[in-house]
Amino acid sequence: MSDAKRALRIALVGNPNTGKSSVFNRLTGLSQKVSNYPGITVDKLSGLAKLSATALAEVIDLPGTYSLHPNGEDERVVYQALVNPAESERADVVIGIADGTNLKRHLFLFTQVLDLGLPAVLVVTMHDEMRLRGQSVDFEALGAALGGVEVIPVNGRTGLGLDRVKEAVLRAKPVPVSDRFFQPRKKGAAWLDEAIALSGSRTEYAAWLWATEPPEFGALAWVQQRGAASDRLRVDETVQRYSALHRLLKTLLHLDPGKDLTRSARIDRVLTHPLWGGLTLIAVLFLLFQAVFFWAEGPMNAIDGYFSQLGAWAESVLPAGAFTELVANGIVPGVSGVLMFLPQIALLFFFIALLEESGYMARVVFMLDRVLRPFGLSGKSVVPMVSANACAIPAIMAARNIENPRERLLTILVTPFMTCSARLPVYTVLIALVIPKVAFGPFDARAFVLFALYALGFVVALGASSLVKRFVPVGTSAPFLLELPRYRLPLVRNLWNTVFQKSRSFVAEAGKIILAISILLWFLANYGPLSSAEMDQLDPAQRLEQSYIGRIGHAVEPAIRPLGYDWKVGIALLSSFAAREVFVGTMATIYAVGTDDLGTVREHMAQEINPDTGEPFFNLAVGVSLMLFYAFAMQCLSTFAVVKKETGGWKWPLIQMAGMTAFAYLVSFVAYQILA
Amino acid sequence: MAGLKRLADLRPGESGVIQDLCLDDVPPKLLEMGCLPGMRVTINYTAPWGDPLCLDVDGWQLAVRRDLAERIWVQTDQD
Repeated sequence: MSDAKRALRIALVGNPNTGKSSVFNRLTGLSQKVSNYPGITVDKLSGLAKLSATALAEVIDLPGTYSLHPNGEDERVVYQALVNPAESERADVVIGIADGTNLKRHLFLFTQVLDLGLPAVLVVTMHDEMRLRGQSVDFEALGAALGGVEVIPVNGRTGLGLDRVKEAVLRAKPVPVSDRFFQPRKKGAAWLDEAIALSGSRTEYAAWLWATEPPEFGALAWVQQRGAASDRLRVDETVQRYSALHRLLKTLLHLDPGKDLTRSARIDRVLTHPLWGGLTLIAVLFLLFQAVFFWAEGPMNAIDGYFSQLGAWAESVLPAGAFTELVANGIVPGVSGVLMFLPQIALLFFFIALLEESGYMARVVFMLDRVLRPFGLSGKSVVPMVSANACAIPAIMAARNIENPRERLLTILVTPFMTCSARLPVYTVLIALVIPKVAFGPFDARAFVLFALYALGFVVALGASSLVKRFVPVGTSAPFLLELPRYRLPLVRNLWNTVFQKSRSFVAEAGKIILAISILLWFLANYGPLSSAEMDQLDPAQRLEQSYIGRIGHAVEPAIRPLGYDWKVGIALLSSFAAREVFVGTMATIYAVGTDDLGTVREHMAQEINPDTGEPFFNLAVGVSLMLFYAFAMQCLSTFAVVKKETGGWKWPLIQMAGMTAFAYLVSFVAYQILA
Repeated sequence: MAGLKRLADLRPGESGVIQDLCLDDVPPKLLEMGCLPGMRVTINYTAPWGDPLCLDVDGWQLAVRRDLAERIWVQTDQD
């Protein structure tokens, strides 16, 4: 393939928490896009950078890693991007990012990159922090010691130094591969030449990486057949490289003893203290929920209002007919159903980004690890579980950060029990309908029931996890190793970028599915086995009953009768599989027909009479049974799709959907039979 | 007296030098992050219930679970 015209491809490589994303955001600005690496679920973050008046380059922000030996799918992406035998897929230049306060550990990774023979530039961040700690380094000498690499200090906050980086990238040449840090041939004399030939590697070290890949990545466990364990070889390399770096930095790094290095540790004595740390955590979570639920209310109502007007407007402007109906009652509400949740999700992402950027999130994970472990989960399950209070879809994607496959799978499986915001409108309508407005002292009964439903979601998630973990094999145990980064003031630019990227991918991922299902539902509710001439003769209530969805509702009625539901609720339940909040809209459609359409959904539902008893249909028993069903059933095709994608098959999403729905059925059945 | 101890048995504030690690017991990633034989590690503090532990390694903080810390032997120089 001719690549004469292809833009220069730059890869950013560094440990997590190095200020890598600050450098990336500075280089690429708003040109960033998120895509997928082919075949796997790791997000590929890339953007365009203007290096000079004439040179434009593609910059790829590779996942943070401590070593080129991959420990997981996302770290394997780094290895792939640098050693890919197909030149069109490989990076042309590497910008290594190193935290100056921790040079040895960061140079470990950077010297691995150099051994691949790629042109590289080293950016050193946090050198203001180095000064505070009394550390100083001769950057020029360091560059020379690395074999002639340009080493440039950069301030991620101000962007100072980035212009020099751009110039250096343009003139970067491959560094001659040396054996000063590691000699693959010494450890692999018996097989290295064969490995080079088999893998088509360009350097000895690339062949070494190829040969020592963990077998679970499907590479030939080829070296093992020769009696050397890949772990053993990895460790040999690690020890050699670190001791070479230790010798190097002894002469280059100057330490001024007597400086205080422990500010973060001192803050942590309070923030991870059993009492004070616990109280802080509760306060932070409380604030987060407060924000997600109350600050988002205004924008959510505004979006809702805007789209109902848009629907009415479309209906009045477009010529009457099926197409207009579809637009006004199928597509517009579908789009609205997705965008409604955007304020909440954006706020939630903002807070999570704030907690992560500041370094506090790692402490939350640290504090809750021991608490969640008996349930088969990890401290790292906290982020998905908190996110799931807005929406399970981004939450399940966030579970990628859990390196232990078993803990990750369990987190994915139980996360949909958490009360996502799509359940909220359902709860609101039903609570107002069946829970009397009484107060016990300061506690309002309705508020209490809502709180209880949230608590229930969390408790059942934990319970389900400790049950399911018995059936999930332990498998390979990936260790829990968590860096607790220094506390830092978050950068507005980084926060904004995260919120923007995540919101955009939510709209794209969830939007497609919800929109498609809304259109499908609209068809099912408006067409039936009867001819359209016959349908037109019927009044709206009969028409619904005769539509496909009405027929389906009647068909499932016997199955849901023991839970206290009739065919109309059946329709709402089925359409809720598109997205739970569709319940309210469906109820509105079903119960609005035949009335003057002026009242609210709740009023229409309150007027519904049970023909068998002559009492209101929605009594306490039906209401509670329905709320419990919505709390536990996995009625969300978007979640199903995401779980399938993240677990790589049909098995787990099917088990999850069957299990959750069966549980919901059982609980609702018991609740209805007791209360009725 | 100085002696060989499990890292998990150290109290917050105490430190020791990592001894030879048995590879069947510790993940290679731990070494790649800089926890190598010969490195001095200090227990900074622990999470509530004493698990996980926060270590100071070469000036940065690493959290490990207690079960891993039980498999790491360190040479202590305190009492």
